[in-house]
Amino acid sequence: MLLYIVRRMALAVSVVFATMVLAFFLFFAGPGDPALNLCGDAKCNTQRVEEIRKSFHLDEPVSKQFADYALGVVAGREITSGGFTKPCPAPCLGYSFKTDQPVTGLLVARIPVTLSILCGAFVIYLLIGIPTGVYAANRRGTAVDRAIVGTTQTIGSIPYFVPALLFSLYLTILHPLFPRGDYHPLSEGLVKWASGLLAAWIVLGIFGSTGYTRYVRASMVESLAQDYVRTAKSKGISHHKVLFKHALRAALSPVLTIFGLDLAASFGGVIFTETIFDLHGVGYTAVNALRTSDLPVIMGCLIFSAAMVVGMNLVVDLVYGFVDPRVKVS
Amino acid sequence: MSTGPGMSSTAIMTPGGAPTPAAAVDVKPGRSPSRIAFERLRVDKVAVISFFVVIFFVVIAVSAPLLAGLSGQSPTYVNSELVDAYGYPTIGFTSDHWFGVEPLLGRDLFARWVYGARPSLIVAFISAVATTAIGTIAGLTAGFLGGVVDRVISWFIDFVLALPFLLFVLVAVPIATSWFGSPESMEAVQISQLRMWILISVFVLLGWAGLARLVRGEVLSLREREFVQAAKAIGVPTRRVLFREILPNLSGPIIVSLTIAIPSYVSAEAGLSLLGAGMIEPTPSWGRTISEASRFFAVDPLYLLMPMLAVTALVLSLSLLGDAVRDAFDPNTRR
Amino acid sequence: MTASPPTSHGKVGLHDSPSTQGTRHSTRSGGSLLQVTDLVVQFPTADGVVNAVSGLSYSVDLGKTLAIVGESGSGKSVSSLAVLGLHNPQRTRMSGSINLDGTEVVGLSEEGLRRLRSNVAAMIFQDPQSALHPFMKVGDQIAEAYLEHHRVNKARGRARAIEMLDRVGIPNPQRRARQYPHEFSGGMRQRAMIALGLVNNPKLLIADEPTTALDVTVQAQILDLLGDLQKEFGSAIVLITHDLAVVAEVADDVLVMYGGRCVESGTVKEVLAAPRHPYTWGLLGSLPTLGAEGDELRAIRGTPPSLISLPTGCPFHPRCDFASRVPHGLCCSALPELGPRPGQSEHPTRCHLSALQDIYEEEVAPTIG
Repeated sequence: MLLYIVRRMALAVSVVFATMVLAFFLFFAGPGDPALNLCGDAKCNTQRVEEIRKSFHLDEPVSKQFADYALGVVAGREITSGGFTKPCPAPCLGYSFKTDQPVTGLLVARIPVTLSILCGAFVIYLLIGIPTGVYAANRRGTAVDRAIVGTTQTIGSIPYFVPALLFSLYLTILHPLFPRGDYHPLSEGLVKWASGLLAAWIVLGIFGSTGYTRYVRASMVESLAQDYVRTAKSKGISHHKVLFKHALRAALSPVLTIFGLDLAASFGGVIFTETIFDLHGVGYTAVNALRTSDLPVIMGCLIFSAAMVVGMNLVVDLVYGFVDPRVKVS
Repeated sequence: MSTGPGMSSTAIMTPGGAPTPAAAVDVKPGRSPSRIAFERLRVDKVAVISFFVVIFFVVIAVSAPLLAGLSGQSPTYVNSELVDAYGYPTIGFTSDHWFGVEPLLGRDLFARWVYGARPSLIVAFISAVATTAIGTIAGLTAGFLGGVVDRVISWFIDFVLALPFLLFVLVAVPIATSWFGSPESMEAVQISQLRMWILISVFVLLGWAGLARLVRGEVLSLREREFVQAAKAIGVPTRRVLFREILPNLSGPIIVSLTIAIPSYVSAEAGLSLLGAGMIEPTPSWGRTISEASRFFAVDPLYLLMPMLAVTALVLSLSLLGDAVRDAFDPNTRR
Repeated sequence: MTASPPTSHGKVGLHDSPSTQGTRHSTRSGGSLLQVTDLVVQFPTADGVVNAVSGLSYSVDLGKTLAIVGESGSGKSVSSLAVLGLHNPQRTRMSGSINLDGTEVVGLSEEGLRRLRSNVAAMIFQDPQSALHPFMKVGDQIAEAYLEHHRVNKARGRARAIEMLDRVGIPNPQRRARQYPHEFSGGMRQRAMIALGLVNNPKLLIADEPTTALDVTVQAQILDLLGDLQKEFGSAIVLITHDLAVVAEVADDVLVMYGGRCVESGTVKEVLAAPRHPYTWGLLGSLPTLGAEGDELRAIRGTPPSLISLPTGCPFHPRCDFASRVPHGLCCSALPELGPRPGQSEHPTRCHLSALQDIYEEEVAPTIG
């Protein structure tokens, strides 16, 4: 078992490292010239570009730049630019080209926003998905079931940003039936926090739950067909107990795995939600940084979300190994 | 079922009665899986409607120049006279401009709408086909060759799957485009074209891994099957057996991959264009149009709603059709 | 060992004191414990109606064991599931009568069925690996059945579960009760299933292929256990199996099923020593015996019939070596009646052949080892 854990962790680290390499290559080592990109618009002349290049150490060999960067992520480093030396504690993701603030600090400030969106949305996924899925599976083949399947299929197929945008424009701006998207930290009060996120939760929750409804239903249908459900029935217990205590208990475990992985993947920032509802989370930060060519920030976001996905995958794998006593670790 | 508790009912069939004679049942001739699937699809109303919607959009895309020509407009011609000093269009929809004109630049919206079908469909189809092809080849290679090759490919699969798709595409496309062309060296139209191909490439670079993993899994599980070992025991090379057996088994994952990929890519392209990381000027893309239109939605709702409707209808019908196709080919599902 | 108070329809109150001996079920005056009459079970499907059981009648008394023998698809499991009303009412058409301890099961409400299940009649399923819930402790699964029919607290339920595990011969029952099914060996799982089946002291135990998934040595232990428990509690057992050796070991009566119908029935002695149906002959003939001469295993030619399109006339005739001896192609066109054949067979059989005894004694018996 220990060997397995070690191997999985090594794999996870290698993937995050590779992401760093890829991102670095993309930004600093590609045929393009980051200094030129940074320079941006009209005021650019060769002298300005050179200044930028020197100031951000872009004139050094790529391998050195990367080594400095990688070392910084693990152990922190000091960054000199424009004659000043700035400390950058681990994990050091560089300094923003635009705001001259540490990227890590910026991310840390933005993560709670994404988390707030996710926690509300994921709760809704389960609140809608599980009961609906169980209900549909229990009445499998009936008109109600077909209606549920058809509805989730349809809603789930609509590209998310369309209803999100419509909701935002028509229901929070034009006719403010719902509070406008805006992030207030929990410290400002639960109600304020929730109201700023409500619109995002509703839209993301409704559209994201369709997958869960389908998945719970499928898992329940399979579980209900199992022998142990028949055994449960043969004990004379109520249908309710059979459904929840026996069938659902077994059906939920794969659903929770998906849930965990979905959560991990969403850490890349629920980009559409954040941009449409003006919530400054990780995804929003990345999109914004793109507009201003703030490469360290973009890189930081990318590495962070890759690390989250990999980390969460690892956690889910390990937890599953402990929770499901039958899993043999090969 | 009988009449109630405590009463024993009479049998439906008398104790000596025989069921329907076997001779009366006609035996259906064997049909290939594709035939069966096709017949099931034909009867499926949702599938048929979706199919025609998709065809509708394909026709629009293909005949965009013709359609735009019908209204006598072009998607790039700037009708600055129809836009007032504040940038708002002075006309609604007229017989000249069926969808009106856009704010600021005053270009004909109907023409931009019909042309907008093109990037959506082109990007989606090419990406989906390329992703499926590469994924299949990679999976087969890893599964068949095993050893180091398998380890390397598997690692790449894990790596690619760990990358956050949307974020990565968002970031990679503009940067990669800047490598190959900049506003100084190329015309806007050329850059726009380049951008489309970069977008497709990035989609493919990220999209092959899912199918590759599935295909590799199929090959590996096939290896475990006893008949492979049996064949080996009589001297048949494992590869030959695997190859003969694997191809029919591949159709399932491939169909699934294609039917999911196409609507996903249409949606992704539109979404990315919305965020500014997809198609750029002057190529008309529905996503792009939606992004611009959202600023004017209160005064010119049609500007926003038409491309939204188009994207939604296309993705929805592709999705539903894909669902129907998957169900039709799956011997286990019964509608 | 303390056993539960006598079972009845419904829950038992707290004040009933447990007796110290096993409760013996007494035979009801007149009428058997289980009386199945003309049972028909059909499953309408998209491909046609599956005629799983087409008119089955039998009865079982307390203290007796009836073995139902047949291939897969003969209807043996389906008919037994019907006794407890375990088929999905929306997908099943049932008719006929199943009288269990005075209650008519066919058409009974779900609530009525629940009161019977595990209480009056219990079922032991074929594959304990899949029949036990993988995520619930074994003790909890057994206790659940007990708590459903007895108004006692959880601690009593758990104690009962441990009692039962002990009774079926599982060592260290306290520890085992807290374990999960996958931690048990195959034989132990089957014992746990038996414990589950017997926890409420049911009058009827239906065992569906209880030994099929087990090694031969463990099979013997399980059969012994069932026999002991029957002797102690006086319950009736319906044993479903395809294995004639098991039948010979433990059953009092046997019913041979084919194509959803009974083709031969009687006491074990009658049917095994003097079988009177070509299908039974085939079953006996296909049993490999030690020391027998010959170099081939004999199987009954052909394959089991499709339950959607059963053959006309006698369901076995396509595979019967003797069908040609019946004049006028009767086997093809008419279903034989089930009944004894005076002069040829003392016990009921469903066959058109008129010389059953002669054919058996002269042609079939010598070939069976």
